[in-house]
Amino acid sequence: MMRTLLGNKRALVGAAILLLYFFMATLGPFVVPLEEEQHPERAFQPPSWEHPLGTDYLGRDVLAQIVHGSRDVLFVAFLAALFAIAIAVSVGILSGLKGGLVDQVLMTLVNMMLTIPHLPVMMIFAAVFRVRDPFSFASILAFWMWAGLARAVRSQVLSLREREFIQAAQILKLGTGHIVFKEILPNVMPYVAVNFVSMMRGAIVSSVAIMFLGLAPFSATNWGMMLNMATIQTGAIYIPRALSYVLSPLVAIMLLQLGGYFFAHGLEEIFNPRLRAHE
Amino acid sequence: MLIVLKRLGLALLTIVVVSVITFIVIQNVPGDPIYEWAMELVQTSGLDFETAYKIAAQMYGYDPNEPLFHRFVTYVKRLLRGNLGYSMIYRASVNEIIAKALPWTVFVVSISLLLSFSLGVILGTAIAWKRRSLLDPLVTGYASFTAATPDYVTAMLLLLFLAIRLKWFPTRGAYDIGIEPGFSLRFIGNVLHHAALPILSYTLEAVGGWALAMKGAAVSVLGEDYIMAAKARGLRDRRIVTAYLARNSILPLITGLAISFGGMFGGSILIETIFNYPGMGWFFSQALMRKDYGMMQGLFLLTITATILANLLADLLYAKLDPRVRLER
Amino acid sequence: MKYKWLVLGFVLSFAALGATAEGVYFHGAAGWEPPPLYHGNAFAPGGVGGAWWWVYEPLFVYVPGPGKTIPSGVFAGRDRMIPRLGVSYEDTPEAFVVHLRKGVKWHDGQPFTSKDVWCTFTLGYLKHWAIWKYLEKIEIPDDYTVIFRWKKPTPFAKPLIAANVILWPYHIYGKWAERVDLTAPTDVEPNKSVTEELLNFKPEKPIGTGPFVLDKVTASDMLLVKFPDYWAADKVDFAGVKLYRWVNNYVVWGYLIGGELDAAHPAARRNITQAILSLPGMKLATPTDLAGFCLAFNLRETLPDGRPNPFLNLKFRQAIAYAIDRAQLAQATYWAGLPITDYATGLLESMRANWGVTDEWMKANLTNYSYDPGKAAALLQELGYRKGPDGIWEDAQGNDLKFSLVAHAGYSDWVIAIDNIASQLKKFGIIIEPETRPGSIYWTSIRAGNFDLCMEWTATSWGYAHPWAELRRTLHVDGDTAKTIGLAETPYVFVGPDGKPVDTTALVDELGATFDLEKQIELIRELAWIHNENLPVLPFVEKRIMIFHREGVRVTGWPALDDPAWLLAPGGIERFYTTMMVEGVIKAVK
Repeated sequence: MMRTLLGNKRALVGAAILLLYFFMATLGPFVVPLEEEQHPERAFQPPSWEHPLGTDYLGRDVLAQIVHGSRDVLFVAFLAALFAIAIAVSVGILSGLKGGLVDQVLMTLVNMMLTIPHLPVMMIFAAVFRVRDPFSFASILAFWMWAGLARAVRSQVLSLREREFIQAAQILKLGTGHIVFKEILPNVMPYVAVNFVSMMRGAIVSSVAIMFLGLAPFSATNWGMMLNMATIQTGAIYIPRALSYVLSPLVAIMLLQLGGYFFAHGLEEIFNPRLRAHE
Repeated sequence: MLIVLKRLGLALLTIVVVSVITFIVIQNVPGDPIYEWAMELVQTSGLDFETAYKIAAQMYGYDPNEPLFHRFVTYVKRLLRGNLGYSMIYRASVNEIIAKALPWTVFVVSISLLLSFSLGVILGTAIAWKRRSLLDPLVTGYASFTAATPDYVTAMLLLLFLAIRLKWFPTRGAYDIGIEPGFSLRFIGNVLHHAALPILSYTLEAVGGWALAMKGAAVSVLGEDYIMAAKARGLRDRRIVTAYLARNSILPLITGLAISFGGMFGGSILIETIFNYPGMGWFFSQALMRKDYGMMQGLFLLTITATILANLLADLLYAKLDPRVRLER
Repeated sequence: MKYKWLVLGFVLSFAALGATAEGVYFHGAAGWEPPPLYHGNAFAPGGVGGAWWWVYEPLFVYVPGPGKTIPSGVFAGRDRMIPRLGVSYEDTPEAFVVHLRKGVKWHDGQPFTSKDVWCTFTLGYLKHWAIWKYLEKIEIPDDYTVIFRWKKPTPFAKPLIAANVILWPYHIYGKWAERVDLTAPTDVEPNKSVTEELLNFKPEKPIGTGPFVLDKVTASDMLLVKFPDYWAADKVDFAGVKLYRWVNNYVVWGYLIGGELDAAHPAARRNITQAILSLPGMKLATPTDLAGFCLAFNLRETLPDGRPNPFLNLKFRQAIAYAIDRAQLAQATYWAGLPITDYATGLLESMRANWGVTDEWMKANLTNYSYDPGKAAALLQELGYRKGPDGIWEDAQGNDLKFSLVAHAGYSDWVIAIDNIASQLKKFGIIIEPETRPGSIYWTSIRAGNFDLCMEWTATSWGYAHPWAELRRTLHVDGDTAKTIGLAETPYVFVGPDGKPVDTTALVDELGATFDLEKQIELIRELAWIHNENLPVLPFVEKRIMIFHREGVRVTGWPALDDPAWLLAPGGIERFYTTMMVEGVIKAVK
């Protein structure tokens, strides 16, 4: 599999970008300390050796904020994707294995969730509930993200159920726990992995948007909050010198999204050889 | 027929369940929107806080101590009379707001959808037909780039460079107040000038996706017997592409178009906020920021209804257009 | 196909931009509710909006200063009254008599009489206008005389009379005013149903007597045109007013930088200010906003988490005051404001000297709290705190000094302030956890005592421009900041200059009832002493309005930056613009 990954250029580029962000989020904050002191007299400086991305409205280093923000953004997105996957996999497996009424109720629910426009609901929830920490924020995001995957997992389970090794396990009376954890989960995992990246991407787009509108103001370094500061709060968008401050969070989001997109597509091609043949 | 009814039932059920949930969530909001308003009164009129609070509470169109169920009954009664919601702060029906805001959103989004759809179809067909051209990697690259950039990032960049820096376009509003609204060239020109950047944001974002979808559809059609037959009959390329290839591969995209039309009510929140464009999304974000729950509820109800019905319509349409597709369950 | 039209559209709209309306329009920015929410009834939410001071007029305009450039008006000691709908007045402890201007017309052509004044103030009762705290009744002996009879005499008669515009003409609103019962509370009948009916009355446009008539409103602009029958129409040099909708400051900065506005007052950071001021002719006036920001201490028995409250100790509060560099804090929070760095009098820094609290007096009588971490450390040591190995102060049990500091999430300057205080105090050795709360719960939570330290308003004299209102904020049990710190329930005993416990509420009430200027100054000094020596809150900046105005493009004749006429601005910036127009001070560039 590693070899296929290496052979797929797009996946490789995507993986490289994601890896970069991963290190930025985990190690970055230790390398680049966040400036807490304010220096209004050094505000909105253009990029320099000392501040590669310039300074913000209080004269603090923008690069440091992007780095620290990456931790916030990725952490919320990671949590959201994790929560969503957990719900999706449990619902999908439950629905696929049990069948009958349970399956019907759950799938009706899934179909409902799929037709609801996500962003407006997330915004209402974020505005109404006091979002103060990454966990509650991630839960709100995750609540509206799991449905598509749940349906996909269910159909995987349905097809697996007919396979010999599951039927063998059932005949051997190995118990539901065994069937779920030893037989089914390993088989749906690759599929889940691909979706994990896409879900994180979705969560990032929504979380930054909600932060940008100022609906969940709990982290000053989140890129959405940075954007909110750079535009609505401080008007850096009007100051030609401050261009790097405004563009930094935008480019950070774009690059991360691009990495996620390439990687997820690459993975899909690897796991789904039919697609590869199609190209 | 039964399947159609079942689908319709599910759609209605979804609308009901979602609006009940949002109703409960919104009504059980922690905190108190009256406070904020009272504080504003304190600052503007020099009242002490308690008096200001009393006034604000009196102006507020509902009683916070009324039981939830009661309020729900009032809400449903209003709804049955065709009133989508009631702004508690302004004591105005949401219908009025929608009547003002919806035309702008429909105007911008339908132009953008038609523009991006037609461009996407042309590009998609072209790259499917000429597989080895330079266009293919270009369009594919562009599509993955836009798929990766959120629409609000595109909108912000357009605002920053085209409106603020270069001043080619206005930064806000739907038209200049100095111009009398009417069917004059001057007014229409002004409206288009104001709508240009929102339209551009939507279009730039969507065109890549349509092109890729069209390419996928066209590639699978290319292998069909009737294309081979047409080629064998020696028809001109142009005729094969328009009459056979495009016409047959556009089918699956029609559903996507229907869904996009339905989703436009909700999908415009950020773009309209960024350009201060007074459509549905702009009013929705105003309601969010002012914590006008009645207005939120009303606008949201319209949004989900439109989305869900569009989905339903798309499914039915697809089954109708393509007899090979059977509706699931 | 579509493109062709788009291109045509652009071409046409560029052509449209070239066309100009006849006459000079003043370009400003203001807020209003976008249609269809907009309507013309000032009583109901969504009514009138930014058209207010352009379409309506008060009886008099009150200026808490001499006002060099304003031609008309009566200057008396500390303030002056500029006649508008009233031409003269008699101010006695029993009544305030106003003689009205003759020949004034409403925008719909009806004549303006004393009945309209009666109607307006009567409906104002339902809106709890501040004047009704003192007012007993309004008499109208003839069409051009109005007598305001007081139930208790007030030294604030002039600002109270001038605070409200005449906005409800009798010929439209009289049917409601006639039904109001001035002896009953507003939430019982018949007042309750009158209020309810008025809240649902929504005429399309406001009808006033002012110099401009509302013409058109959209979600982004408002257009007002000159009222041809205005009583001072000859002095008003502008054909109309074009207002850009004030969505938020960010949008207004853009209009200013783009050179679209003649005047606007968005608070702006230094860089934005520089960008705006780089336009030719652009100037910045900064009159006081009649309010300031402070750091408020929780003075309740215990802190919300149940810990004993160290802020009850005066020396502890003083230590915090010494440990914060207020000059730096003010600079970061509101750079255009007036920093308060040495004392903590609870008075407006820009106005206190007018009321006897001069620099010399303060130096001779008050403790100076200018930044001195050494003194702060000495005070903490005296109280038994020790600095731990991690550089954080610890109490006798070895617990770190650690407090929460909350701010309103929607006030971006407060959010910056709490970060600044947190980083300053961290350097000093006290851990501060900054926290923002959304506006919908901020005021409820802090007034319930749910904070250790928080941001509050201080020295607010909105509507009064008098130290009484400033001191009342924190030292009177009904004051809003007093409720935040818990003045009514605190075990801390306020001490007066004589060293004895003192009832600050009684002193504030006394100040609000005395007409004697000498006595007022004596009381103001005493209360300022109490505020400074007991330190219930730590003020750090006086807010100033940043009024950007452009000379020479469309408008000329703006007053000098230090002219007291700018004091008209707080509480109604358009009141300043309109007064300048009606007085013929600012003129159109032809």
